[in-house]
Amino acid sequence: MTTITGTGSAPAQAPTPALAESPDASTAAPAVRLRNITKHYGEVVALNDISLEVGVGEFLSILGPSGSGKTTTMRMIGGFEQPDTGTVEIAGQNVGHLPPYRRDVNTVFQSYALFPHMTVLDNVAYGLRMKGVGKKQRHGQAAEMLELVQLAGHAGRHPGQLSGGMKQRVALARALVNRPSVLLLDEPLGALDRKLREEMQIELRRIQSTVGVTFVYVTHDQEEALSMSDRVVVMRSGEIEQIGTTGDVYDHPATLWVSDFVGGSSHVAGRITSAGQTFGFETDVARIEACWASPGLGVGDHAVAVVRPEHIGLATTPEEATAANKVTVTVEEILNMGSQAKIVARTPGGTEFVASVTRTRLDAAVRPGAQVTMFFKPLAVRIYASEPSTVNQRQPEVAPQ
Amino acid sequence: MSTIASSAPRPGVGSRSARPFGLIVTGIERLTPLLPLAWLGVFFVAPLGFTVVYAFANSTFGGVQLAFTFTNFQQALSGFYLHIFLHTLVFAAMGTAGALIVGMPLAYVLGRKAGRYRTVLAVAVLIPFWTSFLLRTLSWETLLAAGGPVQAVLNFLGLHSGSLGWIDTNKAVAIGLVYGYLPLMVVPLFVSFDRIPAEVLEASKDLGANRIKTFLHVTLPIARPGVFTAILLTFVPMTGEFVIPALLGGDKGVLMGGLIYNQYLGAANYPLGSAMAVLVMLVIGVVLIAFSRLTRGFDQIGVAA
Repeated sequence: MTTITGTGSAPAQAPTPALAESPDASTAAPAVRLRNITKHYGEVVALNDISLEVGVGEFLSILGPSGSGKTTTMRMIGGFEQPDTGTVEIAGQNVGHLPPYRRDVNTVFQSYALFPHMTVLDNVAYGLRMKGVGKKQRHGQAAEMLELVQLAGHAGRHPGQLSGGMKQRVALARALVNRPSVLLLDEPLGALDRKLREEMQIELRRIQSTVGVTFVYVTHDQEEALSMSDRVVVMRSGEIEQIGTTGDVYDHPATLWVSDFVGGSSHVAGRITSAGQTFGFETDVARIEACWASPGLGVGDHAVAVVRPEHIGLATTPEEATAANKVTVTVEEILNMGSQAKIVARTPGGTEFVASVTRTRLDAAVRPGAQVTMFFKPLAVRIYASEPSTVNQRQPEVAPQ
Repeated sequence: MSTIASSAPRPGVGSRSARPFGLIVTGIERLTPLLPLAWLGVFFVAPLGFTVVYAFANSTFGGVQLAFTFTNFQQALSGFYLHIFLHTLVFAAMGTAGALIVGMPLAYVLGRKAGRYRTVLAVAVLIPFWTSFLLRTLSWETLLAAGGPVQAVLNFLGLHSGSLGWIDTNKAVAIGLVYGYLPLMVVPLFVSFDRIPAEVLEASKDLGANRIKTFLHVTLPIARPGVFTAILLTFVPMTGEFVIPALLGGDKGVLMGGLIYNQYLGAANYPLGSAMAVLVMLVIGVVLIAFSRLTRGFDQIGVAA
């Protein structure tokens, strides 16, 4: 398991523009460094030995289901929770003992948490007011921030008069007005409808590259994490399962659980029969050839082979029907997903396979009850040690905490 | 209400003449809203009306001769009566301020800091409120009496030496007022503090405000309607308070409530007592109007944003 991926491996950032006050090129310290953080709530272990670094200017997502500890991790950085053991550093400085109001970090809260008794402008200017910035100056800067989030015309309104999307933008402007070195975002798009959410995802990226602030983004939505971040931290039951670039996490999940949580996949249990350049994997369904297996797995081990839906095709040509990995299945359901269709099928033995196919390629012969041959390349198959708890956690709970 | 609207013109259900019962039902439905009005009239407007009418009448000491004269008001606003009237308003204001000073921290701790002890503490505040007001006030007579527990404590702390002569003075009345009205002060404040979402206060701290600044700039302004509701709920009944001054104030602690009581049941001067009652009501009316804007939005605390 990759525990710490240094800032060096963060992918190239959008060039930090002029708005950023001090491009910390000279300082080597990461924006945030958590070292061996542990947190208990009574008997419950909320965080178990979490270590993590966030690079300056990076967009890092913490991804996990409810109760995985992602929000607790974020609140440690913000200063709303104190770790039992371990240290929290921001820009190289140990801030473990500092209250939230002394940390150079600001937060966009899940519920927005706007001040209902203040106008939008006063909400945004609040951070500056607490710093002692004069009225004229702070209103000027707040107005600039409102422009950045495209709410310039709403400065005089009260939060109660705004839509959810607008409140979201106000919360963002309010958190950015102090130019924090790190911005924490706690499932900020959770309450928005899908279309607005997608707009805001693009918007957030734009704003991040404009202001050059480090973003730590907490979400349970893997699509959101993958589409927005430079790197993703996948958390589960208070521990980090994997840290990697979005490509890494999706294409090379470190564990069976990550592979399941990020993207979903079909599973076949079996036994490794040969190892070498490729792995032979004997199952009830078919003999499967795989190009990757978890380190530590060897011949004779019982394990699980995993294939992503988009890597499974329907064999239509004789050539495809003779591919290395193929299974004969009965179609159970066809889910129309727009341009793609999801075909849920089952082998006579009961193993489920899910294929994602371009709808234009579907012919009338593929319908519930029909027998089809599904095929996939050895390169698309990954073998993991089996994990008893996986089945229960396949559908992560999406309710906000 | 909506049933009235929908039962009248509904095409295709049948003509009205064919449904005599329908007509009766409709009639009852239409009259139903008048019932609360009738109650209001019998139990509130009528007694109030008598009081107002009496206030302008002549007294025959034991009876009333209807008239339209301002002499009762002139009398009520002069000399000793005026003094007591103003004294009552000042006392109610001071008692309210005292209850606010004591009640605010109490309500804040209850609403935001008590954690799992919240319910226990809230009940501890409310239980006295449900027991007899008379008994609770009388118990202060014992507590404050010369040689009583309060004297012992004050002597021990060196804050007072010798016998405590507070009973039958304004001091005892003030203590009794603050104590007696504390629950009325605490409950609306508690509800307001309790309703403010934790994230809003965290946001304030996140943006650089310490606890005191957060309280002054966020907590208190959001709780504002609750604060003024609490003030109103305390001040209004205090202006008419009768039991506490009677039991703890003796001759020196008379307030308006006692004065009105005396006019009605002692001097049998109903018109003068009525005029005094009308004056108190006028003050309450003015306060209500003045506060109506400030208390608005009590139900919205913690809802928006």
